[in-house]
Amino acid sequence: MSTIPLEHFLLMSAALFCIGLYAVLTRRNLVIMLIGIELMVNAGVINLAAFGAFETSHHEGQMMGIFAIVLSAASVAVALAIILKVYQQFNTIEPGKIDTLRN
Amino acid sequence: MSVYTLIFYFFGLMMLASALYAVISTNLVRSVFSLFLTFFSVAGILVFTRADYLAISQLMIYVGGILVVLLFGIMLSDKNVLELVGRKGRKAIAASVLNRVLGAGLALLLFAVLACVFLDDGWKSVVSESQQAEPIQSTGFMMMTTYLLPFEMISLLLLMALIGAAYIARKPKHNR
Repeated sequence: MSTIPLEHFLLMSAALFCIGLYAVLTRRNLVIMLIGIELMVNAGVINLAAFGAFETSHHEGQMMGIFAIVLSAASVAVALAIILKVYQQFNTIEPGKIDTLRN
Repeated sequence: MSVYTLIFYFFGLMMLASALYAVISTNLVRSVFSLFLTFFSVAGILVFTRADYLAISQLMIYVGGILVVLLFGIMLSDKNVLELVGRKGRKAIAASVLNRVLGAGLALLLFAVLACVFLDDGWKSVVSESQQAEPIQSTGFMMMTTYLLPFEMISLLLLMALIGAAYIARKPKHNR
């Protein structure tokens, strides 16, 4: 059985993180920005799992990855609800045009 | 190069390509469907770190849950959400190009820094053979013993978040 160097996992997750960062920085759409945040969370989960592969007694990396996935699921549900509400209020989901909190 | 590594790099390539398409696509539905592929490939990569349970939960939560929620959210909202690129003036287009170039530069800079750190020597390689009998068995055991309190807390937090999301997104009773 051949092995895969740890750097390749890390480089892949770094590239995924940077793609997510690009989405958050440049896109003018709240849903795409949310997708970018999800990509960054996924990159973190890959890193946790890759480092956790060395630790075989407690599976800490895997457990932290599961907790991170569940937390991001909760945040997506709330964020999407807020985005829908913002769209009803402002008729746009462009973050630059949302400039009031109340009326 | 064996089939094992070939499958790993195939998943990696698919992950990065579909993530890039999801980010730069101007059609929201297309980018969400491309995200299906990304999350599926991430689950495939997680299998290579011997985190089987994590890969399964990635498939169930992301592919089965989050993406369906995203699609529902997009489909249920007005179709104007789908039209991302509005008609803009020349100044706005120039500003958006500058914005994109700066954002891409920052992301590439971060990637270069991370790559410099990661390509430093001294990393071990992930062993493909399991030294342990049953990773999933011991994962379940850890979840019910060491990580019992975080497990319960996270279930409570998930419940709170879902109730809160349903409360926020409900229809208002009367018009203001």
